[in-house]
Amino acid sequence: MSVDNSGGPENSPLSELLDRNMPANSEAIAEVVDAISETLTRLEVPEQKRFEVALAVQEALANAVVHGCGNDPSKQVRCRVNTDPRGRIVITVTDPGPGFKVDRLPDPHQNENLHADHGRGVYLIRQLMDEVHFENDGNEIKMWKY
Amino acid sequence: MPNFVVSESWTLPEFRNCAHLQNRRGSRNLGAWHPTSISAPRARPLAEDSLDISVRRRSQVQVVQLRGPLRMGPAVDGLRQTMEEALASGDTRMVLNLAEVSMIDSSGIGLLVKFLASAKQRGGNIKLVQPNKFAVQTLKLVGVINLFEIFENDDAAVESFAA
Repeated sequence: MSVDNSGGPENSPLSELLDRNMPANSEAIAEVVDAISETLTRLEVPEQKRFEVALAVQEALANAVVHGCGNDPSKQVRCRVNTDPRGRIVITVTDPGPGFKVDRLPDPHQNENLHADHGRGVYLIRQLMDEVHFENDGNEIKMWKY
Repeated sequence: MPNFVVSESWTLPEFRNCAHLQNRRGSRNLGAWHPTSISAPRARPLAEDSLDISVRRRSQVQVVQLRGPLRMGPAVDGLRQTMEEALASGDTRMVLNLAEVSMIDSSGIGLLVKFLASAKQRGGNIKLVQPNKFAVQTLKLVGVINLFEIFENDDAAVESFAA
């Protein structure tokens, strides 16, 4: 699965499947992830792909809640799910936080990080999705699944 | 780096059909269980977003049965509490049955890795039973699959502590 932060697919009209705002607390994530899974099930997306998308969204929302919003439930995280004309699933997660340095993330496979209890979320997203872009200095992540 | 072993009794199910696992779970003989729990089993109704945790003790080993997704939030918090209680009680030998765990996110993995290290530091271990194909995939993606010994059933995992 490719990782390309230098540019992305050209803009094209999207069909909206889901647009949710959720409070920034961990308990709210499950409902959004499960709603996305149900939507993809109705669209007869294969199980393997559904799982990978669901886990990637779980990770993206968790990052938004923890790092983007500091677990402040008065803040909102937005999650949009669309399909583009080519049938690709496009997921956008936006938080009101200050963003982060994408190139400073640890590699969980490095020995010093293998036993860490955190730091695997973005790495997982990049492995699960076909294309990942961070926009607006990192407080918006856009992910494609082909 | 400690020397980790993947049990030969467990063939990692690359992409084994989950229905096959369900059938195997249904026919599994649990043996003479004596459910004397050190900590009270969590009797929450199983909902899509909740993790059910039940703990039984067998042969000086805490066998923790999980049902539901292991992900950030109440699920990970609940398992963290369970494992902290076990370690605080001196129970450093644990078996986590993951057969009914639909998803493990990075928070869940972080928890497993952290408590594996804590248990090993105390001379114990945390062994996994029947992670489904998605859990295996996730553990592999982040490079921690080989940190754990994985077994096909609770009996084999419990017996391995005596070896």
